[in-house]
Amino acid sequence: MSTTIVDPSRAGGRAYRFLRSIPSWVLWLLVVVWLTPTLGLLVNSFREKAVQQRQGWWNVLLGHMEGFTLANYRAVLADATGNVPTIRSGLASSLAIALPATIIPIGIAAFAAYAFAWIDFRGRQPLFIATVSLLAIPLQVALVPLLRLFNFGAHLTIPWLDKTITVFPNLGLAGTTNAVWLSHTAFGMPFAIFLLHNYISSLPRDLFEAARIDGADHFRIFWRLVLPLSVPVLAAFAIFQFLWTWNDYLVSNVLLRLVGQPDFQEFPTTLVIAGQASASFGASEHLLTAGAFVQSAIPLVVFFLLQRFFVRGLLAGSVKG
Amino acid sequence: MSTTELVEEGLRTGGRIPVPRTPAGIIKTLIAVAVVAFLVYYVGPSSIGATLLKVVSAVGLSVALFVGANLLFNSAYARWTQFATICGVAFGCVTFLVLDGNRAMRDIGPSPWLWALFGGAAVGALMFLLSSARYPALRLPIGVGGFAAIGLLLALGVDDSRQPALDWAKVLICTGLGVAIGVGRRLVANTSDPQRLAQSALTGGGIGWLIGAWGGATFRAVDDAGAVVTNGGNVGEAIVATVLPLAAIGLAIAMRTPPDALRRREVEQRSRAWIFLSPALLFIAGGLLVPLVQTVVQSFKDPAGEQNVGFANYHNVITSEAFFNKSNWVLSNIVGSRLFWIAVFFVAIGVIIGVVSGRKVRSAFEATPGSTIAMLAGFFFLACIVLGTLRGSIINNLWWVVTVTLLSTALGLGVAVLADSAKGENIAKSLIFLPMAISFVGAGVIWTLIYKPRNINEPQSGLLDAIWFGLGELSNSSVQKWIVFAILAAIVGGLGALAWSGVRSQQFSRTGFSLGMAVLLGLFAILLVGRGIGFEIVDDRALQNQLPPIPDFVRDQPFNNMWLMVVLIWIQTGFAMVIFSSAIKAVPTEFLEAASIDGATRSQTFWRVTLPQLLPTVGVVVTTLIVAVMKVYDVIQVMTGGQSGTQVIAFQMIEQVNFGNFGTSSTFAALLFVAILPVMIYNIRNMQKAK
Repeated sequence: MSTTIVDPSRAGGRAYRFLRSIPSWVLWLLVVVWLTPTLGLLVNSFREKAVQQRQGWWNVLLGHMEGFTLANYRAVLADATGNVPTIRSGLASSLAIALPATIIPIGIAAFAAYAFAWIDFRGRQPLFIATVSLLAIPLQVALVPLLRLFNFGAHLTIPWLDKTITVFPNLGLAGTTNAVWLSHTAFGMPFAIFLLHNYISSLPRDLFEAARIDGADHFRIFWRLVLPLSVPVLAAFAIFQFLWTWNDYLVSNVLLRLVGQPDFQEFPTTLVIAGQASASFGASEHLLTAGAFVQSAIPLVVFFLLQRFFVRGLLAGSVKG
Repeated sequence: MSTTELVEEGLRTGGRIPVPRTPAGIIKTLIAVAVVAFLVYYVGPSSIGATLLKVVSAVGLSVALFVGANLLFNSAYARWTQFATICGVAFGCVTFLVLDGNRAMRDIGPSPWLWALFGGAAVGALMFLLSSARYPALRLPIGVGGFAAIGLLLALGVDDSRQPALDWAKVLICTGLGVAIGVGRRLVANTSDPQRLAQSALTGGGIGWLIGAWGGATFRAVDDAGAVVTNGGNVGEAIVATVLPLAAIGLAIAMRTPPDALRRREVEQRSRAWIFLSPALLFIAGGLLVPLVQTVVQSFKDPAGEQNVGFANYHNVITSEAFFNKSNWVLSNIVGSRLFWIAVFFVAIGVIIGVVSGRKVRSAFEATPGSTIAMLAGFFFLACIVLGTLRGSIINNLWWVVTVTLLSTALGLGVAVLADSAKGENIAKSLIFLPMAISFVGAGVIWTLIYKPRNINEPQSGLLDAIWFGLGELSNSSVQKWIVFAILAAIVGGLGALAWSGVRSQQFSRTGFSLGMAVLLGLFAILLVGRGIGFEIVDDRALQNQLPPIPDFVRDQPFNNMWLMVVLIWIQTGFAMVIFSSAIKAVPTEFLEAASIDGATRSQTFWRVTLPQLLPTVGVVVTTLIVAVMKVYDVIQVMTGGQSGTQVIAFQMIEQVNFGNFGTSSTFAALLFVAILPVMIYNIRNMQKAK
């Protein structure tokens, strides 16, 4: 079958080459558009308050190099005065949330993913599907009960016999970072199991059979074989979970700010900056840019250094293959 | 596909953490070290140390528990006695610890561990004797006597205030129920062996007796003044409540023969899965499932969470103005808007392209790329005008889902296609991907710099308003506007030529695109030199009042919602792009080669070969985005605080928590859950199909 399609645009080499280059021009135009807002933040965070308000940040690109200062960063990174949350306490709290919430789910989810992938037990498939279907649940549905759990503990009243049993004691977790990372651990579990299961279940079967012949049991196979081989996917999940917990606002907002006596020292950076943005617009508006940049700098560094793992985790977690 | 790539890397590295050797790797490592050092120095080593200590101890504890449990169950097969003894010690410790923690045990010292020690030792010893008894005849006395002894320990140990005054009716009913359940379970499982039946009856009766005796009893209660309100029981009743049922359970256990090798292997195998699963399931149950059920239950209750109010919460929410408001819903509002006519224009172009292309293949209408895109755009604009006229949080939610999902997917696909094997592909992709790493709060601050208006007598520092003012200056200039007009006219002419070439080569998609763009650009050019576009800086106070207000992108209703959606699109496009990019690379090259041998142009190859291969990926991206967008909250909270008609369901939910209306708040959460359900079911069916 040979049908010759006459394409007029193929006539005239230069015009054709120009048309051919249009896609890459569009691509780079999009890149510039995508980068513009972040660039604006970066530029403005280094400019004095008056200059920020008088001129748009793009004037710097046009050669108006005035009013540069480090004062915003100095102000943002300064020690606390009075009972207001600062970026310093915010960074400490963000770390206190993001580090446990990243590291602790890894092992727990790896255990479960291994069981779902390689241990035969009754009800494995339905249980796995049930677990993974929780991926879609908006975590808003769990927040208020969790807030109450951390505030009052969990008590179960048995009907008819009318006795109350304490299932979960009130450990004074409400308003602390511990409550937040515990919740993140639970929320991250379905995705972690899904991602790790995708990986662990596609490890070659021969490996397991060889190990089984050598007399290794599930525990030894998991510990000696699966865990070391899973380093790439564990790294991918860790990056995900770190970015997600570091950047989270919703969970912290409910579990830290909406409790009876909020403790500002426990607020992560996102809460601190959002508080500054809504409270004192005008007075410290110029500091927001520096604050937001400090807040974003850590995930950006993680992102740029470990992008390879991040992208692969994203792919393994969403594309079935 | 990507999983296999990851697996390959895992198998290659074998768990060794790679040491950076390339210059780039070393620089990256240095940057990482510098950032960590800064954080440690700035936040303070003590605070980071405390966090790390927490992490290390939590990880250490869970690993120790996990390893311990595994080692324990490893021994189930070969060393049954040891296994049974350790299980007994653990069970005894935990039971006595829980009892003491609930203040049920006598105060025998400062530490709760003392009771745990007693309990662990007692149960452990019993299990040791029971499992190591060589002669079957010895099992019965050991079992009955041992369990009775533990019951006695419990009964004597119970605190005076916790001695039960038995309610015999409840004890008997519960015992009867227990026996019935125990026997019934066996009968359902089709076992008629009388010894098995007796065992089940004894166990069920014993458990029922325990529940009825302790749960049904009244305990001594004292009011604030010290007067006795209700009387408790005495030691005798405690003994009756504990020793008898435990002896029965002991008898049931002793009647069983010690497990043979097969059974022990089975215990080991079966329990293994649950050791691996239980920590994760515990977190999922405690953090997701139980709260989900509680939320649904709570949504039928009053603000305090006590009285059942039926569907009143749902009724109030659904009928409220903030949720759904159709007061603007008048035909003239829609037909009178410019956007409506633009939408009609796009749909018309789509229909025309489709009909004209259809003539080629002798059908009434053919869905070519051009007609599909034009009609999609038209319907999208139509949806925007409809959703912008109807107001309320549910409408806003719908608007968010439609807009962000559609545009992020389209843009992501577009960038993935444009970047595919272009020069600097990786750099372009990672820059588009970058906003994924930025928090919603950070994004809110960033986009404020783009949207924020200033007074009309000041230079604008928000990018969009500055552009608007620039256009104003241009419109009012004498020479420049004609130069721009000329440039635009030239572009429109070029587009016209392109459209004509499309007609000649029968590629009506190209014609449609060019004509659409030409009309839009032409309109813009005519407006620029005619009526004028934009604002200029005005110092005259009187004149300021006559002018329409400066565009405030996050406050001017209803399209402020769209400007907020832009922020999320900015973030999510990177996600869609990454997924599409890998899917494009996975399209088999044979297909593409075959297409090019057949003489297909690049665009034909894309629309007819690549795109159909991407359809499953589109499904994945769209469902993921829908789930993510449905619960949007942070962007709105940070940028408008829910003002100016930007409320969504997730926002109202948190707002109600703020007001202390837990019932109504749960109603919003439950509505959100119901909205997600179809996606969830779709996902589950997909997964079942995949297996």
